[in-house]
Amino acid sequence: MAANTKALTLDIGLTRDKDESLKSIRSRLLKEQREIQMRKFLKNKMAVAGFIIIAVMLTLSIFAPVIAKCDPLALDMKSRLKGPSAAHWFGTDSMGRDLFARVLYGARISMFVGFSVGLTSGIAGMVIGLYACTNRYLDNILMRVCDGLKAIPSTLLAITLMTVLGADTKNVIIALIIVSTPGMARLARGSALVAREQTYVEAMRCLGASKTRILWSHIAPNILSPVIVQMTFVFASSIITEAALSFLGAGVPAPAPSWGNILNEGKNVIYNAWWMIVFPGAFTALSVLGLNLLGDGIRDVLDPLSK
Amino acid sequence: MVASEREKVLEVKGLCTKFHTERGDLKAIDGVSFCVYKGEILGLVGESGCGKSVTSQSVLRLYDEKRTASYEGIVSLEGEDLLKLSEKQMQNIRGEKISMVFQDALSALNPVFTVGSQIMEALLIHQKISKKEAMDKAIEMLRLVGIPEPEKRFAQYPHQLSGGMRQRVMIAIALACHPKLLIADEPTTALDVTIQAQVMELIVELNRKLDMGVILITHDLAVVAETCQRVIVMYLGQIVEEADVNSIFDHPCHPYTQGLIRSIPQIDGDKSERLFQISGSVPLLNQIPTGCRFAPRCPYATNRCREEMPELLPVSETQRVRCHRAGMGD
Repeated sequence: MAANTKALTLDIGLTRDKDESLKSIRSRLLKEQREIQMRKFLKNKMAVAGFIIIAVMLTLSIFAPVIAKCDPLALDMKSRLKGPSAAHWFGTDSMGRDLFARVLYGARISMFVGFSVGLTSGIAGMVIGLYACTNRYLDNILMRVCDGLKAIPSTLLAITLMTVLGADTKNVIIALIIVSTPGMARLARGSALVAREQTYVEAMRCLGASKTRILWSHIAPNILSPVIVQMTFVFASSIITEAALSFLGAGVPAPAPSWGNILNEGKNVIYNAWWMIVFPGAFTALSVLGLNLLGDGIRDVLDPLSK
Repeated sequence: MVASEREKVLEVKGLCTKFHTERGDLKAIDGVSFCVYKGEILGLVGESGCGKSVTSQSVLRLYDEKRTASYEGIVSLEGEDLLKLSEKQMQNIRGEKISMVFQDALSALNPVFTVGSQIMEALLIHQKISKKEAMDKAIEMLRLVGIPEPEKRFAQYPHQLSGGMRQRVMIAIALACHPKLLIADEPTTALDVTIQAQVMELIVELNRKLDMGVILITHDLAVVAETCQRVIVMYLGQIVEEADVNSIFDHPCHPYTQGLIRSIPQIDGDKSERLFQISGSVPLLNQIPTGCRFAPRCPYATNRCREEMPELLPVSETQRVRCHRAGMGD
């Protein structure tokens, strides 16, 4: 009954766009799909706020040389620890460097580190997780390694790795990837184990699909959305850990304007120069907040069943 | 019935499926033999846990032979013994020669792909055709299974379709490569009665059109009566009765079949009377009784039944029964 009425309404639709070729129908439907997702995302006010924050952060970091007129490394001993003014919006630090420029260039480092760590550990975690669910012995080995890495507090592990690798932005990224991949792998494995038991996997086997095909073209897309969401959270936590490492002197080496470095310098003059702490601190907090809101929003949009 | 003259699609001889469990090996299927002819619908009935699904999945060798299960016997598809093939060769059989339709179409379709791309995938696995050809064929298949406006449905996701539509899509996927044998594992159980009738009609129609063999697994005897030519009744991993559909409803020989048929509610029956039920329940696989497996629940059981396993013997040209009483003129 229901099917018949549906067919009727569809027939009316058919006569209207009879001339439409198959391809254009498909592309129209896909566009509709995207519009629905877009609308769903836009309805979520917090997610939009998060998106705006991250968009602003990315713009600021990409166009840092254009927006900030001063060189973040240029010393000016005459104007040390000056408060915010028209010339120096965020004030200057203890060596007279423009804090606005330093914070923007700091955003560059943070965004770059966070993004590359999030993306790389997401991909690596997914590959490890997927392979773990194919073979029981491989699963045991991979997951015990992940357990071992997760057993050490992440900041401590990162500091140790930095000591071994040497202070450098590239090494910060490597250390953070090692720290965040195990969590990602566990998540991917968990989701893959659930997906593997679904009837559609059995149905694919009945169709004669090989194990590799099932793994990569059927299970992988199904675990993608939790992994993507987790990637935004890893992005956020990498920003914090990078700042912590730099603050402790084990991250991006000193003259480079990382948020952690600025905070570290600011801690000595915390009573006379509040701006040294407030601006980089606020930027760190805002980025993390933005990423978390964005992650929640993406999760709602990517779930195909929440319509 | 000129069954013997027709071409056999599938012939199963003495199939045993053992599951390796922590409590030892359990024989879920014990010496099952049957065949499916070209263009025929064979009904496979029995209550839950009797081995209907295990039989069908064994035919496709879906269980992991390294860990879960082992098979014995012969499963021959057009003369080729499937149990002797490698996993790689088996992959070419699945979907191409034998296909399966599942009970719950929503969970049997991948939620992240459009239904069209899933039909295309079935084609692309087995046939060397371009994506565009696969797309045209997929739409052709959607039209074949009676989905209105297939171009539009092609780009939709499984959750956007109704239950009946989804089952039609499942059938389209299963039939994409024109298999010789279709196994339908309770294809209509999750659907309401009207849609059930439509889907069953579709299966019957396609069975005629494509001239393939169909194994219809169900516990709905009404569906069997309407659609099947022959019926196999299973109990605890064994075939207890095999007959053409008329014989099974007119004079069922095995007490279990009789019980199943008596427990169908009659529309003009006496409403004040309680519906017949077979007493007891299916024993666990590790507590299989010696002798006839149905003996503990059988109202006619004798000492001989409890001690000696009956053979599956013919009572007429088209009917075989596994019961000591069968040969003795009831």
